Amino acid sequence: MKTTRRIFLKSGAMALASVGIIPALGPEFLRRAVWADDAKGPGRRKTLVCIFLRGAVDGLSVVVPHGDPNYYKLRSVGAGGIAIARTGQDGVVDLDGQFGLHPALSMLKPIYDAGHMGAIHAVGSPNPTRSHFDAQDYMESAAPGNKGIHTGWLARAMAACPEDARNGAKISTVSLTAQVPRSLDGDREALAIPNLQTFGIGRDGKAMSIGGGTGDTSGGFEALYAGAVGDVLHGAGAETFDAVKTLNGLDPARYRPARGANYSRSPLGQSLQQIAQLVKANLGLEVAFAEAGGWDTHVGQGGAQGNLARRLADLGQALAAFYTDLGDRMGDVTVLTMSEFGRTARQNGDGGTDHGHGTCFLTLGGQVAGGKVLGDWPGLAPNQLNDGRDLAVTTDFRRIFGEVANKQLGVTDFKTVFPEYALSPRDFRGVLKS
Amino acid sequence: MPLSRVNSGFLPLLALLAASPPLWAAPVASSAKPMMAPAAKAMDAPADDAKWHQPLTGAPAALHVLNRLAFGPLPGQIEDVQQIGIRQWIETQLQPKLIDDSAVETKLAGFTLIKAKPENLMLMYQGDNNAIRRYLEMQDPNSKQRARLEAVAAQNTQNGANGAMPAPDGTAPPKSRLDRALNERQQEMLKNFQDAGMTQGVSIRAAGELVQAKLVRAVESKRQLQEVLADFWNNHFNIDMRKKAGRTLKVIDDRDAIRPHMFGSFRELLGASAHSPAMMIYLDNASSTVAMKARGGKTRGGLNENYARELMELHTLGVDGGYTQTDVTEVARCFTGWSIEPQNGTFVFRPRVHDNDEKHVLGRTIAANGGQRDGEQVLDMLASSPSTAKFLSLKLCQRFVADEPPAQLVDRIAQTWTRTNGDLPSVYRALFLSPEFLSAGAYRAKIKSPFEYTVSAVRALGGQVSVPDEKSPVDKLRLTRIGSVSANQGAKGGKANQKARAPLAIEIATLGQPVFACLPPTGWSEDSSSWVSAGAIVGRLNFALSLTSGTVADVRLSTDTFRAAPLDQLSKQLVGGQLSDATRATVARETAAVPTDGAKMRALILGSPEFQRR
Repeated sequence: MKTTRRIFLKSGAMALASVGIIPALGPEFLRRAVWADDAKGPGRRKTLVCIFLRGAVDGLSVVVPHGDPNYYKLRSVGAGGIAIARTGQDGVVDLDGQFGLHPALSMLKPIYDAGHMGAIHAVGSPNPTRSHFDAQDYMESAAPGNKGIHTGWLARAMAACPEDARNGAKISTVSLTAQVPRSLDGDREALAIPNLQTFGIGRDGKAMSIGGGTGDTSGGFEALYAGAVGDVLHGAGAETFDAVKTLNGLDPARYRPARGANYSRSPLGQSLQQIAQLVKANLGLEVAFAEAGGWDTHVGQGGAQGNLARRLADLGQALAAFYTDLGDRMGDVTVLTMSEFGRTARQNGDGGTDHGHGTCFLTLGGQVAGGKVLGDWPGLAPNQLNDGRDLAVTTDFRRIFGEVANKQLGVTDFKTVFPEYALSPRDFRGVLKS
Repeated sequence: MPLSRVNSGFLPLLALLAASPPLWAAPVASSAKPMMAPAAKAMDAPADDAKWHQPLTGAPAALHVLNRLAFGPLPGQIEDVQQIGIRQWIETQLQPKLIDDSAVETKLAGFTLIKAKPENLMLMYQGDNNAIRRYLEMQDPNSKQRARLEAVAAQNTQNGANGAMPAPDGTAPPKSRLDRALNERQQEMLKNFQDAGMTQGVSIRAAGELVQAKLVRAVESKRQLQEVLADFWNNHFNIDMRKKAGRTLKVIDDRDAIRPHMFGSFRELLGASAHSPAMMIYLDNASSTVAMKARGGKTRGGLNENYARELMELHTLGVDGGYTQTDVTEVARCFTGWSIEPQNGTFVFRPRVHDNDEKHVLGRTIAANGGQRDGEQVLDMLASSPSTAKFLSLKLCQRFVADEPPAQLVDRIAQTWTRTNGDLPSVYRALFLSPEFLSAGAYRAKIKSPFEYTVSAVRALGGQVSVPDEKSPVDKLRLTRIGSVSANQGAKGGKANQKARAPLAIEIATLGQPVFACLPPTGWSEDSSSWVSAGAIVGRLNFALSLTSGTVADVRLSTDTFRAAPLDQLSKQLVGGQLSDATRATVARETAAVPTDGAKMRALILGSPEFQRR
């Protein structure tokens, strides 16, 4: 078993604190780690929230290139069509005369206007694969075409974070998923929690209470893991029970979003609500990961209304509620959406789109250099399309990942995070303020 | 602040706290030979070495072999193994064909999909696709989707009559979707599909059968070592069944490639995997060809290096096994044309897309025009390489002995490997009969994977895994759920987690190890510490609670399982009496207030740190 320096420091600090010798002996940074639950202290962090839209979202419908006449040659408006009209009630929410939001995302327009939301168009991978499987794998490892990289980019980014930034965080990395996602493979402190409300010992915390007379459902088990100081299971056990207690203390079932923020009951809405709660709780959260499916719209994609519009409305509502709920704390938070590739520029015979190439990422937060659509627009003329069928890629997704890792997490070691890719700050697209 | 500047005065103290192994890591010997006191010896290098030569005896020894060469003890099995003798038990397990396992095979007799021929498994995947599903939907007069489209079509016709704009170019008016037709190939496929009596969803149910059969065998087969080895080799030659036709072709891989060759030579096993259609698809060799000229001066086809790279990095030499990127490309050239026959799901060599030029692999020349022999020669070279002997010996030692096994043992096993040309039974025997395998150093040195944890818990309670009946609609639905968790894109575990009564396969997926669905080609790591992460224990404890309260949907437990019993008796049944004093005291204390709650005591023992280890 390999003990990372980070875990060693953390468990060391815990062990010392438990025998009460840290105030006398511990150096400054260990002492700080022990007192990290002070809300004004290092528990307040910059947080990166990644939302993976699994299944390849149609970027041309998220941010619609209504100023490109070819768009309306490839897709039609109206019955059976999937294009969004330039004008009218069901038309795009214009952003800059060239691009417009899908009308189902209209709730994001005020945030865009406030400069706290941006979009990057024609983003994607240099790898041509049209397999969801491979493309997600490549995006999450940030090593397109290389199956030999077995850790996730976020895990490597966290490992490359400035050391002091993470010390003392109670919960630094959380994925609101059942399993640790590929992006976080390798981060041993990453917590995968499908739902904060059911994260406890004993399903629903009552049906099979096991705490005996203490009333604490985890009591019996915690005592089982308390005995073996220094063992690998003891460390994980201690962190687990700490996390359970910390999160139970938040009482997520009774969380009330601020300023009337209206999260939907959808999985994505609930994930973002829980991330907002974790941010506000000052637990040292640096990376949060959530995902949403249903973007693989081969058939009956719909236009201003329909399948994709419903998925987009859910995304838009979740993002808008998150923004409203966090208020000023959005100054510390950056949200980045991503998807493994885009879809064919031309609609298919089923009123849908097939697997394509370039897509669109969205950013949200106080650090976002927002109010504009970034990226070089490759055009949609036949000779401009990738393989004659898809939006081409003009921005390697690693340029976006690298910029948020740098500006949000303080990562400077790009070689580790993006192997086989020469990334420098010159490649940043200006997604975040400097 | 860098670590080097930390006040030196307290560093040794930190190290001591971090390094001392827990008391319960060593067997709690009562009648057995006294064990070393690990806490006192941990800092001492020679003593650390000595733990590999401290033999296990008595109940700890029996518990140990059942945890390593089986998926944990059944009630009473520790005593049985002690009676038979450790060595005799191992020798018997090394010859699985001599063990009568008819009860399990009879139980699985109803699983007909996983017995299908390759062409039918291929057909299950091909006929169960979106185009055909949509076509069938339009053929169904009761379909809601059809009714919706008909309404839109009627509206369109009316619009047309009113002089409204006709549908613009490139759209698909609902009329054409209603009149959807299949092309010739699809029609033939559908006919074959229906002639074979197949219905939509069959590919998912086939995946469900494969997963469930693995669980039933792991829990109930008497050929336990065979099942442990099947788990090891399926993981070594990992295939994620979520990739394309792997969904059904993985059945052939497990059934015809891995299982029949685990007790032969490594070369045979490697060859079977190299010819496995699911592997061809998973690592993209099926589409790897020599670059060919196409019209207009363009090229079509081309090399895909995926299989060639993983063949060397993961299946044989290991990442430090002494090959270069040039070797990867050259090996990929040797395997061009190794593909699958889409009509019948079997291996095929396509000479027309094979690269016929000379190749240079690992310093050796492979002559031009070798055809399929090129690939076979590469497999010969890789299987007989000393790097392969070393890499596979290390991996086996990691699986069966410890995450960081003693180097001397790995060397000896590699020597056996080389001496016997990779004769797997000889290698197994050398490993399992080695002193290091049955030593204090190996005892409880591994953390169970989620699969090992859940299966061993079911076995400890004497539980059985039920087999869904294809003819029962409820059971069919369950088979679909089980198949979906492993065979569908995207994790479905999140929802499953909140359902009170999930089947065992979904419980395992929720703990992070969906069966036959490991995404990267590495398979799950044999370094068992990778299963320890903050939060992971919550899932295991919840599983212990679900299992002992009888809420794992497809695990059958006898009513005795829920009866209160003395701690000594349960400790003996579940962990051979090998609980640390601290765990014993905690369990006793936590159950004192509810002495009639038999489930609680069992849950605490199955949730204890001791039971997380094997």
